[in-house]
Amino acid sequence: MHAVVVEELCRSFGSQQALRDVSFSVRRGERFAVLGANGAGKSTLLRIIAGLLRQDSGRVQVAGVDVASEPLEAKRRTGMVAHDPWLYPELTAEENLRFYAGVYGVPMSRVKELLEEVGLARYAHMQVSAFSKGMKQRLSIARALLHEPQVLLLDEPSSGLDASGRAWLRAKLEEFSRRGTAMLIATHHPSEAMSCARGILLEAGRVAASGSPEALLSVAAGEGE
Amino acid sequence: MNPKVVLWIARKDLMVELRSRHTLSFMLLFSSLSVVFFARIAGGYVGLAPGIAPGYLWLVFLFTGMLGMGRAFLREKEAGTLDALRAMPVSAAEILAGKALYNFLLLFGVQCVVFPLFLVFMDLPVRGSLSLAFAVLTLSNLSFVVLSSAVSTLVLGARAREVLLPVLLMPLLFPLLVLSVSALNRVLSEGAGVLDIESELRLLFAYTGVSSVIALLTSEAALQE
Repeated sequence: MHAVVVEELCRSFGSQQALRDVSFSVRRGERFAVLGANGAGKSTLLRIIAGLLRQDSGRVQVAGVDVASEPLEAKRRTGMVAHDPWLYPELTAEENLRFYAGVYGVPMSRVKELLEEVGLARYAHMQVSAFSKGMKQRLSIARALLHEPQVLLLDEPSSGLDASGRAWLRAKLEEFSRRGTAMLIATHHPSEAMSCARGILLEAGRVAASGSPEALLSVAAGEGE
Repeated sequence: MNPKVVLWIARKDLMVELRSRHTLSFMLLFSSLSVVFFARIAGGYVGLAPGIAPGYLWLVFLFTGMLGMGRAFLREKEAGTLDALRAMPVSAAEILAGKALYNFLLLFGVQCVVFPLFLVFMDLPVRGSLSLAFAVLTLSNLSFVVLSSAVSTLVLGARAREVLLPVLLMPLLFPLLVLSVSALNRVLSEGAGVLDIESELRLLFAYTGVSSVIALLTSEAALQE
């Protein structure tokens, strides 16, 4: 069974067509790149898969569940790391995760487990407002993994991270892959795309190319010239 | 509706508010100042015509409420965390109920400070039961909170939302104000008991119930992007 199936997805904002007939599928444990320049439709695509935005037409399935007809069930199987960290700066790292764990109905022991896993156990009682960008990103990943989603959506996950932060992220994503978590990574960074097995290149909301990251990057480079 | 989710959302908002004190301190300051101003300007007239006092009290609540109510959703929208709530397997009704509960607790806190202040500064000749007047005010505030929370979700996407909220809210609150002022007036200045204001109480309950049902039914569409 595919972890994510997207079929002929279309979405417009007024007269602007953000996505046109986008189709692809992602296997379990696969890292899948969604490449494209700013405004190509990457974030819109991820937001539709996450159930934050409704498509005009087409179909999206997450772990066998249709996102439009069973949104709550689909959301249970999806985790998202967005541009914004989706954290409350006034709360501590632990309080943030406890809130999300409470809403998801996840045991509170998972909070400590995840703080250890992302290397923030020492900062559990520090307010998030005092966190660096890298620490917020780590906590954001912990937040997205709290309910052990089958699909992880990452929107420009390494933006704002330094070299060590990017290396940490790469290692973590490999680990999640081995555990069977499918990942959709929206990016315009070639290095991030290269860590994926396959992907698509979006241009003005259309799939301009699909296949290996090398092939996508060469198409992108050819069109950029 | 899952009450645990509602409680987690309200608890989180309270924790954020108690850490930042952005809304509560302004609400308390504004309402206390308003009471003092009204007492200075109209205190003499209240002695002559005690029936006008509940109207003044409601003016304080109305302006204070409008100052703080919209913040619960607006804060999430500004911080990007509204998406985090919507990406979780929770219904819009649960989010709205959580926010309404938080707003109610906030306004109840203001009520606990403002009501005694009002009685003291206005030098109101009280003939009836203060606890009954307090209960009427609490029920009215509950209705006010439900309506204002619901309307604040409707204006979230609007450009001039801070201006739009009071404009949309005022006509909806009119029946509530008439009922509440009438009941408070009869309790405070005529010494009416529960049975004497039964019709006002029944209508207040009905109004709160109908507002809650409409708010919950429209929440999904209101929170949809």
